[in-house]
Amino acid sequence: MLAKYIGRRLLYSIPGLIGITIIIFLALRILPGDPLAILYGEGGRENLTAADIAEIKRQLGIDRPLYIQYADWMKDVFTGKMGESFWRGDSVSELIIRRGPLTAEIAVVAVLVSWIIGLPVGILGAIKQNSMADYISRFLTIIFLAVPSFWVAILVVVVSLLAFNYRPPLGIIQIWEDPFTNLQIVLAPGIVLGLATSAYIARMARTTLLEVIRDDYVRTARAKGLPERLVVLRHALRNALLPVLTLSGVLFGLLLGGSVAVETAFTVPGLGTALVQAFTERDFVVVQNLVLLYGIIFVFVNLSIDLMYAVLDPRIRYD
Amino acid sequence: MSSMFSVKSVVSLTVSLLLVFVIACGGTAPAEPQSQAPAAPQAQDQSAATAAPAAQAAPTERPDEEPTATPFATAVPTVPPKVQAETPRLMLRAPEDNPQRGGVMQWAGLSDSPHFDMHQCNTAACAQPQGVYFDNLLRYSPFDGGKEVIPDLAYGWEVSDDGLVYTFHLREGVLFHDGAELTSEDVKATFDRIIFPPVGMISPRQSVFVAVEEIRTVDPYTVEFVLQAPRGFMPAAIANGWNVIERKQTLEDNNLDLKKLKPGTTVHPGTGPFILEDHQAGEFWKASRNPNYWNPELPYLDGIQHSHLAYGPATGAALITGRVDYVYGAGADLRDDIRQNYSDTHTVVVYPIPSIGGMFVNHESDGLSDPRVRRAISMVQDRCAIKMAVAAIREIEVGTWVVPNDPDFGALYREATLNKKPGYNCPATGDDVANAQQLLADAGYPNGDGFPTLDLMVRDINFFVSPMAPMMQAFMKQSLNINSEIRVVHTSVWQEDRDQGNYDLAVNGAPTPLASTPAYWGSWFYTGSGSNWNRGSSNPEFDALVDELIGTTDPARKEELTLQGAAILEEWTPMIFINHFTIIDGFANYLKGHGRANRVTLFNDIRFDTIWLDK
Repeated sequence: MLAKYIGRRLLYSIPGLIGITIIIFLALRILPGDPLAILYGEGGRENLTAADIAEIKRQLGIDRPLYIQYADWMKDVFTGKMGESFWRGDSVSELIIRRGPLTAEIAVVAVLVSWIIGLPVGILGAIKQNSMADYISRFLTIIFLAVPSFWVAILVVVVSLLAFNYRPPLGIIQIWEDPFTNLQIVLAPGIVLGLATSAYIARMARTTLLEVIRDDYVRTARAKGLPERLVVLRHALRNALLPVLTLSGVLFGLLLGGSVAVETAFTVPGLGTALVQAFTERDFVVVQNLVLLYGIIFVFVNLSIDLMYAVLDPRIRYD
Repeated sequence: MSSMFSVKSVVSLTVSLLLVFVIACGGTAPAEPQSQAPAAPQAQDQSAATAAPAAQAAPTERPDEEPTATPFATAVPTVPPKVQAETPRLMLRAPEDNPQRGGVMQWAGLSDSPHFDMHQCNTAACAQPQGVYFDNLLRYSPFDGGKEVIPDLAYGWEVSDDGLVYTFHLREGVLFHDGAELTSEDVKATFDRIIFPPVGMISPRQSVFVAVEEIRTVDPYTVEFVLQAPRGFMPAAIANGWNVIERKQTLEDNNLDLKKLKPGTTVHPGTGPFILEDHQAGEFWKASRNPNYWNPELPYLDGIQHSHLAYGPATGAALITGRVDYVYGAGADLRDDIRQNYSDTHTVVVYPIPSIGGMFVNHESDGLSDPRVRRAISMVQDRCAIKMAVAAIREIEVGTWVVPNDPDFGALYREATLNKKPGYNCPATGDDVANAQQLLADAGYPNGDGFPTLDLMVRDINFFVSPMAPMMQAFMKQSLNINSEIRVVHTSVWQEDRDQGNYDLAVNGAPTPLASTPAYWGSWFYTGSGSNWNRGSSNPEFDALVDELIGTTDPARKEELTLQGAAILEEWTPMIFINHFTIIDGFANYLKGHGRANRVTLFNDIRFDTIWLDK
């Protein structure tokens, strides 16, 4: 039954992913500006004649009808090649394999931080409603909701430099090569991203927990004489977590988007940085493949979260 | 100390001294043609003022009058007889007594190259990372900050009496990274491509070679450039960092398209001191020493790792924390911090680049076709205020019509202009504003009445030009009552709209291929030049002056023409010229074997071959 459910969900996600490919493909081609201006740099493009431009576009394959360019891209995607960088000819799949782990680690750290910080703060706010602790936690969550992650990131970079004369290592060092150095690269961006999302988690956890702890079954649990800790953690929190979990899935999209800015601020050479660079260069092939990858990840993360519902609430069945 | 007295050093010194002796005693020196002897590279701690005269600027000097041997020049016994008698082959080495070998230099800065074809590229993002894999025919000295042209793959060159034929003598035994030997065919193929590009290829520096009629090979180690008219700056143009020598076979095998071929490899070989180990797009370049490099003394480093970091705080932070040894584009934010707190361990250098910044003008727009209007707009720009406003982002210099690093008149003209001429006062005076208002009134727009609202197109580069635009806009409004609407656009849009004339004023900066006033004027203000971004601008009088200036070698006439040209530009005002840009480099003091403290521009010292690590 579960396999059927997963299959159905995957089937439903296909139109969404196709929609993503069409939108990003067209958006990149509709955007104003000539990619050749980037390719040839300052003082370059203006030296091209119309014949030069036609020849270069032919070489790059951007003179062909859009539907043929799109079909070629889809062919590359389904064969796993994902094409080559428009300009330098680098393989996009190799770029993803090389840089993807760093971005994935940052996302995992961010999710962990958001739960480790957000959940206790939310619980504290709910069980100590309108106390000083509640006021302080609400104040802090609003601050982190309001302040953009990239600004916090720049602050962390500058403070760690000026106060501790510290800067993270340059370049990519994978976790299996040198775990300690790798952590120096991913920890700070992960924490910065996690702080922003922890604010969402905290507010959602507080709100849902406040609703749940007023339910009859919680009152019954208290009436039975259960310790408050058990009432909250075993009975109330488990049900309160369902919306929080859903929010986490949505926030993962925010993390993917946020990683673009935060990676840039920390100069972490992850996929976010690659996406910014490719976009600046109008490197269509890299941008459209990375956006598609982000879309696929988003779909799978949300599917995984849906599957976890059954773990938290046995009443949920995947029929 | 032992390295100072190695067998190699002693032999080299002995041969050098013998050659000095032979030449000093009147060694054979043919009267014709006049030969351009390689000038002596200067030690890092010697100031620019002590540098030897530039080779290309001394056409009347005879080889036997040149200082032909220095502690840094070593003769090689395989020189062809004719040239051997004139000049020993310059073999660079670090100016210090005991350069140490080994180590990997880490440096950071710049975005990644858009592609791997240096001849088709016009950005430092190509020249800086890729320069280490190639050599040039001639090069700029790495010891004086890149002022002087010295031999590279050509160990000597001659200019005919009429200045129309340049003959270059190539070193023998120079190997490309794939093992093939360099010949004159490779030099010809390289410069044919640069000067006479095929359809579908751009050559941004073609304009400085328009006088070249033909390149011909005399024998495998001799190549001639035949010109239609004399051009004094030819050696300087040839030595430009982007004009690297490519292998003819590589060009033919790839249908002249090298954009996707990583350099320093067997598929895209250079002859340079380093070989490419790895390149990850937007991340790093990793190079190792070329064991077959033609100069056995160089390079000293075992390798170079170049990380791409965004211009600004990231590069400065990497330098301060010891992550890198050298940074290009340190960012103004950390410049003062490094100077104040890290001066014992690090050095920061601010140097001008041959560039202009300001508002390019569409001369076909209503109102802007009148030079009085353009001059009025120019006069009310408080250039010093703009400089101060953007100081935290980028250091700029108040602009004048002669680039500050022009070797002949840059400093002179600035001295005569700044705080002396209308529009160059700091702060702007009431007289400047009153005169500008009168000019606008004379053009038919008293108090700006009836003047159309201008489309002020701004290129979206924060660290570059976009912060200047609101100030330019404000000065126009405040002093002349001219309205404008700022339109910030992506670089690609900026260039497309500029080419199509979809702007009134277009804010940007622009580099030139040479730190030379005639080349710069010929690029940006000459009628019909591909790099003249002032749509519809034309001044036949100015064009004629540039034509004469480019061919003039007489210093007095050059000065006269330069001053005349600047005066024409001042009145004509083809663009609203605000500033020259600078680059901030920083390096650790243990980095030796270079003259970057005196660096004069960005594209003429990109090899890193003489650098060594004193740690």
